[in-house]
Amino acid sequence: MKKLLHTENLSIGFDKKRRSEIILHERINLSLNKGEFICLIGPNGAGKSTLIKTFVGFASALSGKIFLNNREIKSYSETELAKQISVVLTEKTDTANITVKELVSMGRYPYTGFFGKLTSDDLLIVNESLEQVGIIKMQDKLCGELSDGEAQKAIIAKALAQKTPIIILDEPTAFLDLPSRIEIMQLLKNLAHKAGKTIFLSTHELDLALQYSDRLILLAQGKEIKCGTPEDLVLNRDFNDFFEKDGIEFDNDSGSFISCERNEKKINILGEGREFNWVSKALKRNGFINDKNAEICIKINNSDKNKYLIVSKNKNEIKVDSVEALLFELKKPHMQHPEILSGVKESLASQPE
Amino acid sequence: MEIIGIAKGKKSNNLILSLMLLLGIILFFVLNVAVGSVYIPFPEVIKILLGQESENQVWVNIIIKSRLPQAITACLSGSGLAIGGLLMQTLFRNPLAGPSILGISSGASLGVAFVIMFVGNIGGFAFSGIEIIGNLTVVFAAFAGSVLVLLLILFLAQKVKNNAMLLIIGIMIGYISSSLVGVLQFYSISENVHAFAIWGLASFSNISWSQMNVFIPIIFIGLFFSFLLIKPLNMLLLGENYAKNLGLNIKRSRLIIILVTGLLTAVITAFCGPLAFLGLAVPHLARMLYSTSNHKVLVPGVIFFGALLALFCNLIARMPGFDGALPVNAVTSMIGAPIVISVVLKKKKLNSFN
Repeated sequence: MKKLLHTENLSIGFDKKRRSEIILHERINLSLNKGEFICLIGPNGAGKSTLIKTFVGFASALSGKIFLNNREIKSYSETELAKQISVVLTEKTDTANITVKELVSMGRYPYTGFFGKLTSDDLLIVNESLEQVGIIKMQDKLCGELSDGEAQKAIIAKALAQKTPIIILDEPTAFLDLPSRIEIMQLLKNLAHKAGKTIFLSTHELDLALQYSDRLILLAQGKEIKCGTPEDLVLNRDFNDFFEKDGIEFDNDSGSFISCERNEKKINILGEGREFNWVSKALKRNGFINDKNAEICIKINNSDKNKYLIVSKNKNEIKVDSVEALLFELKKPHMQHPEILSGVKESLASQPE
Repeated sequence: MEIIGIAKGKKSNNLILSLMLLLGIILFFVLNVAVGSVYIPFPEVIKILLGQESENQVWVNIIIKSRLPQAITACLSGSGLAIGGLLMQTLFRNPLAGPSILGISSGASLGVAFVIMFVGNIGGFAFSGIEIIGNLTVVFAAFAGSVLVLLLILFLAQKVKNNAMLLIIGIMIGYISSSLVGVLQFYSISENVHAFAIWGLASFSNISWSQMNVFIPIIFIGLFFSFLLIKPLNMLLLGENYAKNLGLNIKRSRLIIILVTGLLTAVITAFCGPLAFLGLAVPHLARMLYSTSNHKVLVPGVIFFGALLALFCNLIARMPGFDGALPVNAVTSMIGAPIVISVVLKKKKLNSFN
């Protein structure tokens, strides 16, 4: 794979004038390859933004070197760099009163002359960029009229219009609702895989980053930087090292974070399909653990209207039609088996810490 | 196809708006020349403007020597200050910024106060309000004061990374000059304080034709440079980091923007006094009128609108019946502020800045 950008023993941090510098990370050796979708994740304060700022030249490296196309990035002029790396930032823009098309056209500024006059080629590229992110129909709307998701797409289109091989994004999915987040991640992945762009972004969306990225970079203060395919990082337990806090555990099977309360109440769940999965989730959330030998049994019959049958230890049977009703029944005192009760007490006793 | 139609429609709308503003400027320019405390028949006014002979030489004198330069001054000052305001508002991303935000007009005030009050005190003579009008010493003092502040700001602009910090420094410099003016006033005789106050009310009528030779070229250079700044100004709408990523040299653009604003403000303040309001309000009005923040439209729009509003205010100030003239500053704010308020209320929001 073709290396576009790589670092050699890079140190990042703040350079305080007349005071000692604050080093966030040392000896960073990374590379961004062509057509790759790379996510940078790490806890708050890990230095994600600083790393991104250093990459795009907003902050200077404390030591070490950054190379772009095997040429040191310092030697690039502003206009040259503008044609190599485009950015999507979290900062506020005063663009409420200009049209989407005008915003995206600004991406052509590194290529245009003194007055920023667009040639027909430029206009074609602007149109293409609008199309690639799917907002061509909104091109004459004012940016202030867009939803947050659309606004993010517009600014991504601006970055595309810049026609740079590398696009670097600082938390592009922050402030978006879940469907928009997924849409943006999907869009960026397609830009990497289909349009051959190198996409490097920081995010707090671990699950999305796990799902979509070709490579993940894990960054946390005081730890060596980790880089690899998401699956390798999960299997090597790197996620556990980086993100686990008291009471929060990374589940290496599902790839998501769970709070590690002990589930003490045993229950036997029988069934299949979607209903089975969601009932299991609901019971797990309420402190139950699936156990074949449990005295209380839930039978799920997908075809019946009253889908859920509860069989208690004295063979009483109750039929309910919703998960809510099911949970309600289970909370009734006669369902509470001594064994279950003791389990609850134990888990309560272990709570206060 | 429909979308393209809308886009073209918007463009032609802007053109129509600009043409209307231009017509308005011509209309108010002629009215400015035609209306005044001395009645001159309208056909005669046109005749004189077209350079033809008139039956009354006094009318020719009034129009050519007084009203015409005054109208030209109003036009150019309005445009220049409005452009200064636009540049500052975009650079500092602050709707309350105006051409005088960096303390440049305070510097002019200090220069004038120094001449009128300090030198006046030392020499033991009093300037009267009428005497100072058109006084070249005052013009030089104002220009020197504002250029001094401008140089200080330009020097500090290179030291400071952040625009917001520069803004605060500018405001502080303004306070310092104002306080020095206050001290000078405190120790001055009342005639001189009055003369200074009169200067502070601003006027378009101080410029003679010989001074025009300086005034017009400088304003035109400033306005010309504002056209060259269209692209950087648009980039700055995105914020400094985005602008930098688009290849903009932030420090250099900042220097040029401050230099252009400073030059315009210094010259206008030197010749007309510290004109309030126009520079702050016109960019907002233009943004609402054209409903865009794109400087490609705004720069010419603001120039037209500034000239129009200044001519309008000057006309009101010189309406027959106000005999002599009202101070321009009183009129700009009295007429202009309600206009801005009504526009803001109508639009419900200043959508240029949110």
